[in-house]
Amino acid sequence: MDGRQPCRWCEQSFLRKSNLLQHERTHDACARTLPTSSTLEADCRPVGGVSPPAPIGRPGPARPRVSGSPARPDAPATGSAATSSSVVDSADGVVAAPAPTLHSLPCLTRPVIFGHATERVWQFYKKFPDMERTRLLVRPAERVLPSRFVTEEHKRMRLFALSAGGSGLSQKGKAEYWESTVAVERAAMRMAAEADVRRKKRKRGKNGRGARVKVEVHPGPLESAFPTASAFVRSLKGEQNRCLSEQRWRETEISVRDKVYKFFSRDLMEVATEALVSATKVVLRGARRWGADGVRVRTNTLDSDLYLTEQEDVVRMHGGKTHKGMALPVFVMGVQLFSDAALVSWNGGTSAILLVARSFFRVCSNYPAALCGRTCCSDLPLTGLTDSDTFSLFCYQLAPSLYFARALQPTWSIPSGFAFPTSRRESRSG
Amino acid sequence: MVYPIRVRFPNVETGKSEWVTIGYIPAIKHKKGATKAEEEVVRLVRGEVLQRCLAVILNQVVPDSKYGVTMHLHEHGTVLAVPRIVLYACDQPEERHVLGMKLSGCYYPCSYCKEHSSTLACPSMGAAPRDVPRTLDEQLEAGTLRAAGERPGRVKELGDWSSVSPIVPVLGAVHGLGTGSFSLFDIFGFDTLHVSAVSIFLARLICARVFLSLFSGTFESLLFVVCVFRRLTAPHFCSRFVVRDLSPGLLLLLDSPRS
Repeated sequence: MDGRQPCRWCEQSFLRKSNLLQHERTHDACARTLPTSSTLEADCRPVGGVSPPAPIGRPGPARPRVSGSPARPDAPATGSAATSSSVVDSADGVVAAPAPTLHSLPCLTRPVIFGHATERVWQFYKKFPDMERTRLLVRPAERVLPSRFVTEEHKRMRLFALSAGGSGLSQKGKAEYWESTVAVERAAMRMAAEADVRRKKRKRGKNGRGARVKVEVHPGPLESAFPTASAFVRSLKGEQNRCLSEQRWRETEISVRDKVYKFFSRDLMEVATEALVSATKVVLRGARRWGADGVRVRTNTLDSDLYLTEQEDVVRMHGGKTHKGMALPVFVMGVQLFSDAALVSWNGGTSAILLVARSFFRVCSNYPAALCGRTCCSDLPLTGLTDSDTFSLFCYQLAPSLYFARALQPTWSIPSGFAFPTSRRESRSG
Repeated sequence: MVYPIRVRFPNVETGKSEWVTIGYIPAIKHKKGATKAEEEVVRLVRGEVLQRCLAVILNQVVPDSKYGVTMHLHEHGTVLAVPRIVLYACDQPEERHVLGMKLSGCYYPCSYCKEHSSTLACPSMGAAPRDVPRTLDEQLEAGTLRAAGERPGRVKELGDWSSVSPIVPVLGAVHGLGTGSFSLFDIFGFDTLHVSAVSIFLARLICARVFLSLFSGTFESLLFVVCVFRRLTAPHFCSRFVVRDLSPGLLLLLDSPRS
């Protein structure tokens, strides 16, 4: 012997004990990743349910295991190759392990992982208790009252108070907004009341002059709905809760390295169902489009290569299903995600240089392998100028100024929201 | 500080066809004056938080992408909808984060293929596209080892081998991306505003082309001179633009016979 310590699971030997222990952890990790139904796991199982497993085919005393066990002693026997090949010594009832063969070795030196990558990735994230820590942002205990903003004027005031400046007015700003609006409303109501009094015919008294009619000023629509500024502010807060409750916003506490991060989200499938069910026109199938000259035309997501490939895949897997005796149409519900950590599209920017984007995507679209199939490119309305026109214009007019000035000169600006809406646009739509 | 993630459904033609905000992801930044090691830790935490946020959002999408979900539509009656992610619009650094790959300082900075960084600005050497299941396997192994605090050498080896960081991309759990057509690396597209941000680099290339076309008019000479230029200014070119901003775009620009 040269002093090397052999691994009891495979043929390798190591000079140092630490290296051996590190190597044996590989087998342990392999055993943890093995599914129950795996044939290889059956090979790893100790013969006759003896635990801990005896060193297979190696003379000498059994070494204690370092940590864990690649075998599962409590697992039922399934008639595996290891079980069938085991030999029972009738004299003392001790189970003799079979001779080590390549197939009976529990694992290779490198971890062998079974199962599809998709399932393993999902199992990896199911281990985290994030979904258990997810709760609705507005708790059911917080009673959500019906909205008091019922008239059109109220709704406009609500929109202004909640969206002015992007994130809405402050608490003090909302109160001042109510006070100024109510002051104008009171003046208007008083003028209306005085006009009513003037129109009324005075009753003539004994002296020939009628008694003075008392002017009654009624509260306006805003003051009658919200008598005080605090009531207005409170109602706006209630609107926020009502909106969050209706849209089912959730709050998740994600714990990473002893720090807790709060994540606010909605369920994507709920949003998708709401959008599809409430839509008046939904396109279920995409199709390839061809131009007049026989060239493939890609205009949007539904005729992109990626979507059509997925469509063929989905129809192949789910086609032919029935629902209550009727054929069930199958379609690919395309999902487009957009996140912007750099906040370029979120910082109030409203324009971009069209030509840069056009030239970039035009150039890229000539390459068959990569970007031409990307749906982002096909979403852009690339019409109008031809390739050579756009390219030449960019080269001779814009590029030098960009190069020397090193600053974007918005010679030809477009609203950036044509493909990805900015916050301003979103707040308007909301 | 948070930043939004939005969603859109291209099947909807009339109705809610605009972008809908479905989440606010916490933005994590390292403190000023942080060391390289602290920056590395913050980068890993940022990637892990992002993936777990996406896992919360996609919690119902993942099983539905396998089995489908029935819904009743006004126009078509009861249908079986199978969700599939067809676009993730972001910029290139975010693409690397979402895919769980290294942003810089790696040998294979392209998310689409395994073109070596030393040949990035050259005509394509015919690098093979990345294998989705293999990349996911490597990321799973690296992520598991890092979570257990074991074998940092193996984690580094995996990072050197395929430029993956020990972050498992949750998008790989969605069917259609990690199965079927394996389009995990194909769904990423760039925002127009982000594209315009790298226009200075484009301008440099195009100026060079214009300059050369005055003399030769052939594209091959452009390739030669750009390669030489790239060799001369390699650090600036690679770390600033090629690696971080426009590695696929640069390859496309140089390889395209039309351009």
